[in-house]
Amino acid sequence: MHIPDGFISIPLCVILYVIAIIALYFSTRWSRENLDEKYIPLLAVLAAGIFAIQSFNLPVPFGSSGHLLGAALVAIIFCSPYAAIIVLSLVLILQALFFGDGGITALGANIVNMAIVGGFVGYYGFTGLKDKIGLYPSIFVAAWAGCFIAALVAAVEMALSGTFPLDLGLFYMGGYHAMIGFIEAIITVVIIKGIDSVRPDLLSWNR
Amino acid sequence: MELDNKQVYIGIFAIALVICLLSPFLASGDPDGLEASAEHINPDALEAEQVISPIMPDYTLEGMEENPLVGVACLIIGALLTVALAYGVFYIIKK
Repeated sequence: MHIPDGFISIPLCVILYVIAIIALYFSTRWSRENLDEKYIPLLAVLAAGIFAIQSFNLPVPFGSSGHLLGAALVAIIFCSPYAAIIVLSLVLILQALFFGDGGITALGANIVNMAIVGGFVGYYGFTGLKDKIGLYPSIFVAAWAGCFIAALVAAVEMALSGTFPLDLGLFYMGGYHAMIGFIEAIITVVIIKGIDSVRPDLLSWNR
Repeated sequence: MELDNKQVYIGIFAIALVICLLSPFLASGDPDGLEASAEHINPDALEAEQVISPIMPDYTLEGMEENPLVGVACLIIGALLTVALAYGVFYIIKK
């Protein structure tokens, strides 16, 4: 879902950069209040894990592919969308600067879609659903929705920029990412289940 | 099975490195959801000139795209850069 240069109009790029910077300000505040010697290395290696897994595209039907974003994953582990925003933003910045994955002008857009929307939908999806449908079903649905809704937001941004018409953009972006969302959902559940079996105390809801 | 903190950090980073090793060989080369959408709706957009020229475009080096080992090296460099940047940023925030 990394948007390259040329897809988002310059005024919208600026607005999305401003939103990203404001969200990052709150994320640094969250980090200052919540991180300690135990969690800083954990978040750092999780960031590397997300960087690696984002290179691993898995095929989905109709000739496309997708990879884990990891925003819901980090937001649920740390019980905060701000954890996801800062970790995903660091990964997105490196991807844009060194690997050309996502354009530098679209960096604000990519942070808004994948880090902010992915993190907030993942976190609030999880907390809103877990008492109704259970722990792991809520993680599954929240991760799927984080990916799907991020794609719809990207489609709206591209419609505002005149790159995609709104209806076709929502249809194709939504359609592909409804499938890619299952990759997000399955991997997120597997990783959280793995952490729960080796170190349940690292999951915020167990503390 | 309970692991101590250090084992958890090393374990996660080791998994990240294994993914870096496998990805250039196994990952799907199909267009991602955004590229596939653009191919249907507005293929011209994909031809847009990119603003900066990154040193490892598409997780490989220019002219060496066919060699997956170059891809592995680029990804491992990326994983190391990510840990270093994240650790550094959190360290500074916490100071």
